[in-house]
Amino acid sequence: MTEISVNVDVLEENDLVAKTIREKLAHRKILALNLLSSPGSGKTSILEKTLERLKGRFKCAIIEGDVQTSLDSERLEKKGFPVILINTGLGGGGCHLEAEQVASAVEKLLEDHLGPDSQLDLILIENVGNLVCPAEFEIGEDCKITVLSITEGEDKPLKYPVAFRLSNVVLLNKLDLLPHLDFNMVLLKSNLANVHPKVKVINMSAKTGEGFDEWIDWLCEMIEKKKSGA
Amino acid sequence: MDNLYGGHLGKRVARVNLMIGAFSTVIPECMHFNFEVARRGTIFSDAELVIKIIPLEIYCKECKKNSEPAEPVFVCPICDGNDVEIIKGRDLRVESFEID
Repeated sequence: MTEISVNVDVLEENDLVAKTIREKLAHRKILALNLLSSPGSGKTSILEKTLERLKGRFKCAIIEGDVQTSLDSERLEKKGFPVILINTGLGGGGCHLEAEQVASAVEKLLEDHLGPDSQLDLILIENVGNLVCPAEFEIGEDCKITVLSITEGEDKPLKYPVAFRLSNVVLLNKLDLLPHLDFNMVLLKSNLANVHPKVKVINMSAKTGEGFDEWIDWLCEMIEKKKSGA
Repeated sequence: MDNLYGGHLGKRVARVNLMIGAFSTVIPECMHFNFEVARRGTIFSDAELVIKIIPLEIYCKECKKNSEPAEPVFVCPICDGNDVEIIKGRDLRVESFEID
């Protein structure tokens, strides 16, 4: 048998498109964040509150990924920033966003919603609710952020290590429910420390606003860093 | 393309050698199943898919040593340091084709 060396990354095409997105956004000094989580963790609620806090300070846009419906994008549109919806169900029920889809959404955002001189500071990409596949597909983001709600349990970082390992920040949501749950915070922090010792964890509640000062401070610092060309 | 594949372009492939990292979200059993379907009507229709799992390997910036943790625990088993980076185990590569 003759062996022919191929040596090609299966995700090479996706990664090339992701690189193009990254370069385009870097050129315009726009920070892009990729939000990962299970369905129902509170990503959309966190985004609603985030947009409220950033209004008047920075210009934001959302790229919303869902298998079906525009329910989340409609909620976010009410905050007054541009929202581009990607329904992966139309393409066969994709459980994650891919670079090609995000590239089209970014193009639409920059051309339809902004002129060449308009500034956009931040694109928040809400990925399809899934802690597995979205971690595998680069979509041109600067950072991945994983949202985990305390109702999901302390073991999730161990069960879905790739998502947690590749994230810069973990938003630990629904802290308002802590008195009603047998949630072991020490165990959760220990599990996270095993998978990603240096990850930044922000305890928060999208319902009460707890933790949002720290989250917004981090966001603003990252946006400023991007604008300064770092 | 023909130059790339050394004049073998158009021949049927007998084996596809795929490398999957232990710390990726790809499940080998699913890859086999999907390959069975995807190869139909192509030069790969009779090809065997051989998957090689690449173990997770980490490098500790504190003791400067490599190790291969059995579980995705990113604490150095040698010095307990937590400043580690992934060296291998995130792969998803087609290594080679084999032609009869």
